[in-house]
Amino acid sequence: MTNPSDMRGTDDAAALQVETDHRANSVLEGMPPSEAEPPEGDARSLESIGRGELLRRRFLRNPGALIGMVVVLLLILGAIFAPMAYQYEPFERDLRNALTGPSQYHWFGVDENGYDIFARTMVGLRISLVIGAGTALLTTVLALIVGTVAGYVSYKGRWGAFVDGALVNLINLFLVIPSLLLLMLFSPVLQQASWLWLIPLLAIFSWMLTARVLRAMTQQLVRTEYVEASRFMGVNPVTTIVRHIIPNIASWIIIDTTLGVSAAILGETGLSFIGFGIQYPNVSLGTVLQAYNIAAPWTWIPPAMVLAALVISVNLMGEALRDALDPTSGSSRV
Amino acid sequence: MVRFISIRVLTYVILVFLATSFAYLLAASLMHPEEVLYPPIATKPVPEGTAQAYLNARNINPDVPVFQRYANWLGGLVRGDLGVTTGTNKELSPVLEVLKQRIPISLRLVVLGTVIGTVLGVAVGMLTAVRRHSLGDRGATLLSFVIVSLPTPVVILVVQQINQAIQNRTGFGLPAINPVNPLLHGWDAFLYESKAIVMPTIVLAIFAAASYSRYMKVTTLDVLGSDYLRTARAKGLTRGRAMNRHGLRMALIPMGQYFAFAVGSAFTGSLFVELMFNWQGVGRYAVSAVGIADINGTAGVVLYTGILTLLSATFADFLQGILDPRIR
Repeated sequence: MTNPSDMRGTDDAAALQVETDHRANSVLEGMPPSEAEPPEGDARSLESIGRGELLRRRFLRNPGALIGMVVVLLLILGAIFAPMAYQYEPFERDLRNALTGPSQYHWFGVDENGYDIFARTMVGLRISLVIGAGTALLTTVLALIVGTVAGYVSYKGRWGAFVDGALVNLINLFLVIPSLLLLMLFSPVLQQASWLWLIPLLAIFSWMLTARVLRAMTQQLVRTEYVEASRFMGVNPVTTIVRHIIPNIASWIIIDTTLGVSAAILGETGLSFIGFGIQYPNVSLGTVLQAYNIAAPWTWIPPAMVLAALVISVNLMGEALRDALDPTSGSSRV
Repeated sequence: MVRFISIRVLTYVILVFLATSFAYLLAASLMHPEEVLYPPIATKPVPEGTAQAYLNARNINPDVPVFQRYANWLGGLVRGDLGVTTGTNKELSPVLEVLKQRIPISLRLVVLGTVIGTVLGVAVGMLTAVRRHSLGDRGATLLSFVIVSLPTPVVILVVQQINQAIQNRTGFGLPAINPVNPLLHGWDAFLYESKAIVMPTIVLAIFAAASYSRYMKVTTLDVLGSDYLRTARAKGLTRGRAMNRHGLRMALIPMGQYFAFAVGSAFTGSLFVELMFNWQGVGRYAVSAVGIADINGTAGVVLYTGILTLLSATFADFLQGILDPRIR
């Protein structure tokens, strides 16, 4: 736990605590569990089940995961279909009803520019979802490349150590650079081409912490016998990384990608909020929040609720995935 | 320990220098402050000599190669001169003067928010780890989870809206925007300023506290299962004393690493706070500088955040050196 990006849940640490807690220790207190008859539902009383089935069961057992999944699905469906069915467009002005509250016609009310907030929120949700998912995937790919390469070469003599050191310093450099300022520099320039440029842009400034963790994990794996063996057999390093190292860190990658979605959405909305993110012909949740008015709370509470629901449920799913994939966590029963 | 810290400081200085240079070159090649000379409504062009003099005075002449301009800027930097404001702002004020005016406004926010947030986060994280599965633990963990999932503007809006609601109900409330009131003097001005700083500090502190308490909970749970803590208990220390004398220290060591980069995120947080509470600080200046294509101003802000990160990272290393006997 010396790495700032070690994102272990509190459950793993709790497991360690329980192992060494004298009250939970069966030798000091209480009877040892009987080995003879496993209770019903125990792993030993069941047929062996596949890993996918195991993960599915563990994931679905978590109530947070279920809630998160349902909310995310609803929001995705809303983002796809609501703008099609809804009466107003995001840039359609209804100035007669400006700054009126939610009504039969304007479901979330109207802001001071006469824009319908529901239409804008749902269209903004589309863009925020696409940017969140795209950025998370791209971030993971970047982090995976830098992290595994740095971790893999770090034991390969002087040049390996040099490359590793250079990559680590690159990571530190990106951590020192105030990413928000550089995003503000780049974003308006690239937005002229397409709003999709925001995806690589956000990814470039958010891969560092993941890469650090992946490097540390790869360094541990490089020392294992099977990686050594494949090296002595003369297997191409890229093949070794893809076949032996990535499958071993896959669970962490999946978790981090899920949590990366919410981080990307937060980054994008923040950037759009100060006016350097998604530009005029498009709307994002950040741009919708920009039109806030403290005297008229409905101008910001509904989009903020949608945004919060999205990020919280993605995070809930991420934490549930971590519990399901991590063999040392508390929920690693069948 | 001196050697350890001096090597780290040297690395940070190099990194900050690289980051600032990178930012200057990017700003110089992406921004076009010379466009202010060619407005679409102009009926006749600015005379060539005037235009050249205007651009050279600001070191933004697009006819001069970008690296030459970078070298000019670097020469100024060595002499403690960050250039003058450029962009559509034609007033030619030195960036250093602008920053000098604005840094105190931002810095008190960043420092106060980070310190309160860190202390609060460490305390909450440790308490929730020690009293695991209690009602307080569940509540605090849920709250920090929700806060971490919210964007800064939303939290600011929630705080402002609550203040507004209280003001509507009772008639008393904190000043909604502006850090100073130019109409007040002396004691009243001080009173107003200390009231105005409350809401921004709350926002920054709860963000820092939410993320710190999550990390601190994990590190404390790691420590709680350790042998030396059991030994400390076995030799007769009470639970609290063992935790304070042996546990807290070890749990804080990995936290130093988080702290190194926390000030950077506090700067981002303070940028939103300054925008939404109308504070004329560095964050607000950054937004306007990028908006008006002010190259020197942007580079100055990057330098400021770099130095801030450098100081906090050095402080974190220093703290780590004190806490961790293996480094000494």
